[in-house]
Formats: sequence, C-alpha cells, structure tokens
Amino acid sequence: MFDSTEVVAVTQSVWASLLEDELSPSSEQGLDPTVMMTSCVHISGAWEGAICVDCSTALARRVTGAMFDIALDEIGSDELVDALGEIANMIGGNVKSMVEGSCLLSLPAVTKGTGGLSVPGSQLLQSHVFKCAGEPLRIAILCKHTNGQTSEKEPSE
Amino acid sequence: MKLLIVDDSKAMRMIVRKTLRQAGYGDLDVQEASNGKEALDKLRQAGADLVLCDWNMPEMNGIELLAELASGGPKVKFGFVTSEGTAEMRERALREGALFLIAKPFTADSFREALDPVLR
Repeated sequence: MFDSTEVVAVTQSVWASLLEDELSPSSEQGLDPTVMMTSCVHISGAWEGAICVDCSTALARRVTGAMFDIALDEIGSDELVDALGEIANMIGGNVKSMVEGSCLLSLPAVTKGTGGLSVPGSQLLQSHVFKCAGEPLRIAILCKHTNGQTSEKEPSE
Repeated sequence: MKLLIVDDSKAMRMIVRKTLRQAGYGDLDVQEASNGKEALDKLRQAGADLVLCDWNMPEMNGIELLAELASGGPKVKFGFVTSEGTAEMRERALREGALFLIAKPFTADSFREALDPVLR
C-alpha cells in the first residue's frame, strides 16, 4: 500500500508551499462535521480510489486567504472552493505518482459542512490528521472495491 | 516578453504569478487562461512567447492544448506546471513537444531551473 510516511511528507510539503504556518501530525481524530469542508479527487487506472482532504472551515479560510493573498473578510465561496480543490489536486497528484502503472486523476470536487464525503464502493486505506494553528486537517486515502474486493491492482509499497 | 499561465484554479494562477516574480521574472507581460480552449483562443488572438500550463483541466486539458499547438496552432514555447510529475508523464510531455515539466508544489528555484534556459 501507500507509504504512510511519504503521504504525510507530501501533505506537509504541499501545505508548506501555500502557508507559512506549520502542519503538524495530530493524534486527535475528531473534526466537527458542521464546520468543515471536504475536497476530493479520484484516481482511476492501475489503481482505483480517491484522495479526500477534510479541514475546518476556519483553516480552509486561512489557507484560501494565503493562496489568493487576500484578507479573510474578502474570501467568498468561489475562492474557498477553488483553493480547497487545488489542494486536493496537488496532494492527489502527488499520491498518484506513488502508484506503479498508468492512472488518471479526476478534477476535484468540493463540499462544505456535510460531515465528510462518502465514496460508495470504497474502503478507507489510511487517514492522517494534522493540526495547523490549532485547526484540524485530515487526509484520507480510499481504495475502490472491485467485485466486492479491494482493487487487486495495488500500488507498490 | 509575453507569458500565458493556463490553470483552472485562479488561486494557482496567482501563486504562479507570485513565484515568477520571486524567480526574477517580474518584468514579463503575464496573461491568464482557465483552460486549454481559452488559452488557444488567446494565443490565436495575441500570441505569447511561453505557455505555463496545468495538465488536468476541464474543457481542454494541457496535453490536448499541446497537441493542438503542434498540429498547426500558434507557435509558442510550452511547459507544464502540474501536480502530476511521474516519469511517464514527463516523458509524454517532452515527447509531445513540451520543454519542461515543473511539479507542484514548486519553488522559485524550480521555476528558475526550468525557465532560465528557455527565457534567458
């Protein structure tokens, strides 16, 4: 499966390119589903699954402000969706690079305050929770089932 | 010198602009497009010296834009700025005529390394 250390490093690397505040691994698991945003990209081909990024709305606004270089009160829904989608694209693209074999990366989808995204026919492979300036962010890798089983075309270690 | 940034994320287009300034390319005339089709229209109308293009976009993606340019479209230097930096994609990008592929996340140094041989 995916190397957890590598997934954490990729996530922190993407984050560090966007925001000066450090993203640190956290042992906490809970994210308040009423005040969070989720972005997701799907991978298809040699490996089938999805990469989801959940974070608090406060953290989403913070990183959006940094990406657009605007004040928090200037951030609208379009900016939040754009920024969160791009973060999922960057992390998903780098996770896709860990797969051996040819794959396609989908365009991102973004949702707000729904308690996370359900991806039918998938199971959780791994998730990592981080904190940035006291606010939570979680990365989840979901593997698609194939005929009731997880994909037989697994990525290399 | 004219440069066209092509990315469906406005945030990423702004980050690319900022990184260009940090890399010492603040004097370029920079335009933007949000997908390959819009880029093709802008290139046909006004041209450019270099395109910095995302790979994965709606309407027309980056590799489709590159194919359009190679098959009789406006002549312009072309490089990818994309989150998908596998060896397979780098090989395909170069084979189709791209000069470089910068992987996201990137730094001003990675921009200088890719752009200096093309623009200086």
